[in-house]
Amino acid sequence: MFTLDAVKVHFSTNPDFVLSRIHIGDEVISVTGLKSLINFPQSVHLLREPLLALEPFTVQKLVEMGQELPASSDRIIDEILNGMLIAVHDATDVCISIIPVPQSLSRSISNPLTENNVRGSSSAFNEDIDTNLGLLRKHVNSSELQINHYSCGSMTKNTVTLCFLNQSIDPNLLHSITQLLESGANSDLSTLKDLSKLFKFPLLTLVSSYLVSELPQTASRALKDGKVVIFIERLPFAIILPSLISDMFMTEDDLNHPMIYSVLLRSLRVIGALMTLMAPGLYVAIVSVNPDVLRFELAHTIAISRLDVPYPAIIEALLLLLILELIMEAIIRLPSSIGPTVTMVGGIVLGEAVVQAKLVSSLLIIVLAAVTIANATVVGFQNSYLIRLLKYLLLFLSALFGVTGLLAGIVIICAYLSSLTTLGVPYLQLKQPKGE
Amino acid sequence: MTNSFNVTLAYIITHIGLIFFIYPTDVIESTSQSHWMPVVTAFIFHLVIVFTYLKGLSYFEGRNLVMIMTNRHPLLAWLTLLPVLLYLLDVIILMVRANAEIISIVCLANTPLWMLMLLMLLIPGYMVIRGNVKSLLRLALLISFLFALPCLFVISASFQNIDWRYVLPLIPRREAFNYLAHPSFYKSLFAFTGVFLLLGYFPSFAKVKMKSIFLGGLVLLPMYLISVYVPILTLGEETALQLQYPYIFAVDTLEIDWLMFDRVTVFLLMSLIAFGLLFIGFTIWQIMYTIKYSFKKWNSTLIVLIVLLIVYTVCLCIPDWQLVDQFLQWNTFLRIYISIVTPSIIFVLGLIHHSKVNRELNSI
Repeated sequence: MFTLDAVKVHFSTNPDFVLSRIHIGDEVISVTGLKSLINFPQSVHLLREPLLALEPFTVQKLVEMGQELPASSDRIIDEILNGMLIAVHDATDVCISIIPVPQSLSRSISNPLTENNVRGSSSAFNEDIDTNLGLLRKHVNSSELQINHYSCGSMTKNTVTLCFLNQSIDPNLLHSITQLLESGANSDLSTLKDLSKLFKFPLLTLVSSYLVSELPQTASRALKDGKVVIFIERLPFAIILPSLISDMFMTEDDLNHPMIYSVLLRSLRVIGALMTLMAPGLYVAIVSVNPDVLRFELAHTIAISRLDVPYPAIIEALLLLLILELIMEAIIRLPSSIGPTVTMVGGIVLGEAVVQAKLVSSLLIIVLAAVTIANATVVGFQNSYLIRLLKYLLLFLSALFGVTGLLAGIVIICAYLSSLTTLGVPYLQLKQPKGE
Repeated sequence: MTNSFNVTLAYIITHIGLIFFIYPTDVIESTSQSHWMPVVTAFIFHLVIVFTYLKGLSYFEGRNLVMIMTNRHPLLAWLTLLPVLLYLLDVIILMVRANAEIISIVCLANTPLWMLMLLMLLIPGYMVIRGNVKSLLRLALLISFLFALPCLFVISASFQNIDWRYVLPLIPRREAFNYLAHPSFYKSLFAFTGVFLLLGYFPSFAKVKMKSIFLGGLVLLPMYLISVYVPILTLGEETALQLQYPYIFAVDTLEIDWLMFDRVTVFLLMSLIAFGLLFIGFTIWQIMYTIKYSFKKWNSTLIVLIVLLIVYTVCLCIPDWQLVDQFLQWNTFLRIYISIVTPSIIFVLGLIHHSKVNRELNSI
């Protein structure tokens, strides 16, 4: 009883702490837990029924219902915070923790919110780590699937789960990941930034070292390809390590289409990415530095459309790009009831007024509209950020060196991508992370 | 281990980056008929030295040129590595200068040369400082994926205006062999000797298969022939002789109706410059690696920066194209030295090493 008193003192100010006693014949059992995490009446019922049915009461039977704990108040507090039901036999001070009926604090499995797929399964990961593991197990029904739990954090505890397929993973990669996770037992791990810090990913990188996905099928494909999948409690997605360039252009969904279409779709994404990167730069290069590259008739048309525009092409492009970026950012924040207004205003501003006011040329609007659409073709949200940012590099270099600058920018980007490695795995490969 | 496909690809595209600019000029200068003869002679020479070199290296199983040399007598090491180092430095200077010159001629007439040369140096420098040789090999793959298509397109389109009668006479007359005495022929060898040393640096990082290198060589032979014959067939030999960059000029005459672009030269040029940048990157890496592992173990970034500074200073000191041409002429001796002596030394050392290993195996 002594240990439970300490627990009671610890939780004395918490209104959701419950301590009640149940009587089985002459024996008294104290039951305690947090009612915000546990459905208390049901859980107590589940505990009492079998004990009543199995008269006479023995301590052994109680112990068999859960996991016996050492009689230390710290350990009991930890278990209570983890949402377990604690039962203490008063006479002997035997203490067990039982899996209770939980309060439902997670939403049910729903459609993915940030990733759409056409033909794959539509269930998405959510905040509950056990649900996520269940979904993954359903997709990868294999005895090779191994799941390791890590409890991270000193002040707040958080569960991190590492999943991999024994057969397909590269042992070196696995070794370095497990070692890093074990070393992080004392650091808080609740956001992706914490994870990057733990894995010592460079801070100023443009390409994230992990892929984030809501779709169990993507996670299961990653496992089969020899990557690892990490779940963090309360983050509604799987973190797939390491990310490769193919994540930008290939989805699991493609494989549900006939082969020709999946190949064409993928090439379309590559074209989309290249177009986003190059089109604004090409416009600036051709208009301001190398008009001779174009056919005379075309160059003439462009020159006429820019006749009244009072500033150089780079300023023109930057102005319009800024407005486009603002619209894209604003649409994410706005409630869906106001969203269409912004789209409409943006459409009018971009489509008509700017051209009529002779602030930008109509060709630039066509170019940038194409770019904005093409930007969305790459798979994964963070990947579209990458090309959205890199197009500015090409834009500035093109303004300086024309078509040569465009080339220089592309080579720089290629050099950057090919120098990237994540935990020893080069970014620039299509399939299995095999190390160098 | 990076696989041999990347190595072969790097071998092919770095060569392509070398071929199309100055090489046709030198070949057209070296003889007035049967231009295929100097090309094929030089190509066979190239195959022989590559064979000797790779055969020699293959005896050392997975060790590269620098590793082999650092264990030898210092004099031998100096005799091999110092000329290599000088030659590589020379190659970068020429490449940077020539690339900057041609960009300036074709598309950026108003941009000062020093800016273009800086661009031509900073990008390869960035490649080397950020990555290692494996990332350069990956870069070779990515660059060929992006630029091979426009490059091949323009090359195949360059046949548009040709007149096949200029091919004749194919059968050489007696005086056709005069090219062997012409200095321009030896100048033209630079397109064959620039890259092959690189293959000796790979064995410890990537698989180098002789078969795939020779297959890559087969891809290159038509490139050499096209670069020489397209200007001759388009413009005639006499006119082609007057031009500084005959192939680029020949491409400039193309007219493709359905394309919105007027000058497809720019696309060819951009692809070639991209390949050239990769070549410069590889060469800087070679210099850095040689210095780091045979002379002084400095920080690699420092070495690269010093190399860049030296090259840039020399490039700035070259006032006009005449001097570049002279430069090319002067380093003929160095070129012949590294293309004959270096592979031979490696081959002989390889044989000695091989027989020693065999003897040891037999004695056991």
